[in-house]
Amino acid sequence: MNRYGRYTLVNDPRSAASIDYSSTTVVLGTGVTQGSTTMTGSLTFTTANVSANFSPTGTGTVTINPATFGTINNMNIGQTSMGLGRFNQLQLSYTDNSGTPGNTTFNTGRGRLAIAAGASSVVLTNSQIISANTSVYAIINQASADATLTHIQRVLTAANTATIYGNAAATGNVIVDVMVVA
Amino acid sequence: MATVTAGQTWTDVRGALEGFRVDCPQNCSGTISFVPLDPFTGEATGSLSEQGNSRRFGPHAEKFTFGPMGRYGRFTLVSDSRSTGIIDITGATTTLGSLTNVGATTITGALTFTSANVSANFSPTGTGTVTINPATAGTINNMQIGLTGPGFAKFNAFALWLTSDTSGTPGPATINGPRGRMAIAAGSSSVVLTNSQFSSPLASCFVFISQGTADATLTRIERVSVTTSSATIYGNAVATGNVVIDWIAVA
Repeated sequence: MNRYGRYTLVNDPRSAASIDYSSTTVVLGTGVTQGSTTMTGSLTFTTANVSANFSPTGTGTVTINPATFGTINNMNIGQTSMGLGRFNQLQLSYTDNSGTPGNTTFNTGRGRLAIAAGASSVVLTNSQIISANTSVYAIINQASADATLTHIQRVLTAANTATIYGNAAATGNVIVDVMVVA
Repeated sequence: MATVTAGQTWTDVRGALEGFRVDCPQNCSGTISFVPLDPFTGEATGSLSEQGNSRRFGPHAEKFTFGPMGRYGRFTLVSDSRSTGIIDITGATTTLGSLTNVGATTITGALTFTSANVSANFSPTGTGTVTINPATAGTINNMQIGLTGPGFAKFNAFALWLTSDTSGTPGPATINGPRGRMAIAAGSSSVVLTNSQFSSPLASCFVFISQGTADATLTRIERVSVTTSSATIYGNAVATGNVVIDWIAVA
């Protein structure tokens, strides 16, 4: 410098370097991370009226695989891009309308209804039966066999309805379990 | 004294004995530099190295005096924060302790969360949603889905764990799973399945005969009777041979 004076070395944080705030609570406004982000502490996202979006494009994937069982609630799964679903237990929302035999409406994926005495069929109205291509599985569920209607013979589906046919007119009310798969 | 604000540039010409006071708040950063000037012409003077006197500041809050430089010249302060509170450390590896992010967070690099014994919680309230929709298929494992807030599920393949196949030993069996295979023994018209997934009499059991050749007498499943922890499966007649059946349990 050709003069007496002080030399100062300043670490420019924008250059490739490590910045250690590991013992600091950092509060950010808007954050943009362009490199890899590794979180070793807990991660909480519970604020009202804001959304999280994990939708990497290209070859990016999302893996959720905790060692201890976690939970996913209040989410529609596979609505636009379906994958494989594999479970060790299956539960479907349930409605029991068997106390009022005859045609009935419920919009849950599973339910119970009854073919009324004297009838050989029953009509279920269900919004999950989105077309004739929807499958409805029906099976009699009662301890004692009816004298005449002893089994379900067939099911005919149309948009929003399924007609469930027994083999004969029922002597008494016959309880039937139903599962809808769209 | 200049108080640094985002995107700000300060320029001031001062005498040889004057310094430049800087007040940098938290989360701002920038550079202050000095260029000596000829007091008569106002032209920059001195060597290039002399003109390079500068100091960076931030992102921590700090107050300091830059100078005096012993020469007449121009002080220039440039805040390189793009807006209030933005810190650009694009090229740095940053290690944080606790992080509270009150604004939007965008991650354009990979995100890894694989530490032991810590949890992730994505439960926005109100109108906040969570979307998981990668272009390339990902995986979800070891998760219970919809236990308290069931939604709609749509798959291009659906698998239920085939817990056990006891059809080689026809007759009553205990299979604690969502799907299984067993057999109604020759000479019987029914079989009892014990299964813990029948959590109440409201559970359902859907059953189908699963064999290539029809039995001479038991040709269809007529009904089931589900109680807590078990289902009795009835055929239409006494079976001539063993009749293999598949079932799924839905609670």
